[in-house]
Amino acid sequence: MDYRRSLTARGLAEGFYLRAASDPSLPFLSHGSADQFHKTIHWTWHAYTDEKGHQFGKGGDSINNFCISTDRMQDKSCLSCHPGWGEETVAVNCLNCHGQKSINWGESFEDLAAFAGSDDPEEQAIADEIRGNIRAAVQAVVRPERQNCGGCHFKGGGGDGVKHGDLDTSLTKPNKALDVHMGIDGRNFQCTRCHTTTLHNIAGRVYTKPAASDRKSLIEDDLATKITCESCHSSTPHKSESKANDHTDKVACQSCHIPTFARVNPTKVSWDWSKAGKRKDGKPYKTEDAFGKHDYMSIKGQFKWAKNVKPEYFWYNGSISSITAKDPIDPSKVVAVSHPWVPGRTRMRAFFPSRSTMQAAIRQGQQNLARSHAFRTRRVLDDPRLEPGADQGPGSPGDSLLRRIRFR
Amino acid sequence: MFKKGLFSVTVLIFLISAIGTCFALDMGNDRKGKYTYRKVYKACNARGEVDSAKPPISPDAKTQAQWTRAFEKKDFADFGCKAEWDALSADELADIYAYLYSHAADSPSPAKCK
Repeated sequence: MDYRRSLTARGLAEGFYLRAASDPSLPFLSHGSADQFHKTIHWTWHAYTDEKGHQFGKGGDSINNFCISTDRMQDKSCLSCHPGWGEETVAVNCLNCHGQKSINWGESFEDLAAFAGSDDPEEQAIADEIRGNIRAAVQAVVRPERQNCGGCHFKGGGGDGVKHGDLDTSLTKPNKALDVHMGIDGRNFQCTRCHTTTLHNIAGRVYTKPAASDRKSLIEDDLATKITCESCHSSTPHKSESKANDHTDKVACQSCHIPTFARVNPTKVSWDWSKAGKRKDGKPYKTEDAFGKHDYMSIKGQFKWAKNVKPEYFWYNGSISSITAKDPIDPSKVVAVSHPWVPGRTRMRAFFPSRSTMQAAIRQGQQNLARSHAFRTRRVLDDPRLEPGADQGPGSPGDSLLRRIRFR
Repeated sequence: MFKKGLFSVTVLIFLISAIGTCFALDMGNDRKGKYTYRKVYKACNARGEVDSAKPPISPDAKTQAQWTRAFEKKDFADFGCKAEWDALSADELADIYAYLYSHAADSPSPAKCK
């Protein structure tokens, strides 16, 4: 069914209206669902709080091995994907996820505001052109498609394939050989085919626990919020005499069916922030590897990229055990920041496709990972009085980077 | 002697300023220039000379000094779409120059064409 028609059927399309910001006839779409969206993890960055009071989610105490922590985030580019911050509840641009046409909304409205009141006929013509572009984009409402989800998830961590080894722009229009479900010459699934949604909460997060304890088939429960392979393929997906059917209670489908990942585009497998801050001829610089990817950037440190990466295998029950900035760690060992949980050795999954290592920091006298502002390096680079390595890492002003540790 | 020297210096400063003013490029409206720059390639694409309506050279492809040199020489060969560039008025060129210069690689806000 056409999505606009289905919206109408649900009585939502009528709720769309154009709320004015700079021009009474335009800006952001809004309707009742914005209230729903404000309660989702996409907006709040908060997943849940455990019994120890540790708040999971990027807006809480969680640490990850890419940007380390967003707790002190000042980089506006992060906000291009993470639309809300904390309790902030400003306008939701529904079209980031529901728009078929991509335009630069911020720039369009800023330019429109500048040109709309002009007496210059040329500027009025430009204002009309911008209005036309916005109207066309506003009217192209769709159920989220691959490019909508992929706009952020294919480029998580700041670039194509950076954070997710199994998600990159090669999935925008994959063939069947690359992705049997999403292949445009095959089933042509959109992301939402499996990542089902209830009140704008999208299934498939690893923060929520457990990630997939139920092996429900959609035939049993077509509103199951966790879509697993079994949901469609059942727990006996192979031919009836096949021995492989006997393994499905212990071995996850991915263990055999995803032998390698990052098969088209390389993925980042190591990020060392401690190397950030070097200068060449007194200036920040970048270098590229054989893939044409940056393997060094003064503002971010040193990277390694890899293709056709073999997964590592862990016993895992569907839950992820995560370290937060409040948890004590042993800095003499590699710290598993997020790791498949192994309470009962229930199943094995090739789960950690984007496992990577990086350097992080702890502060003197403390035994927990430092919540760093990842892009603080920029300030160091802008100030030639600061020496590379002196202060480019984690911490508040005045904190010292005392020990670097590896974590994954 | 001192007065003569002072007079000479003053005349020299005046001449340098005047010559500089004569050769200085007009800096137009950078916001308007962004749309004029895009318009060039929309028209060129519609005419069939280029495959994409997106400008081929982003502001951050050059430094401010490089953009200034290109516009001083009116050397637009790298941009292609000669018919459209030839049709631009001086004001339109000044707007495009302002856009490219303001978002050059060494500017405070480098930009790519979208």
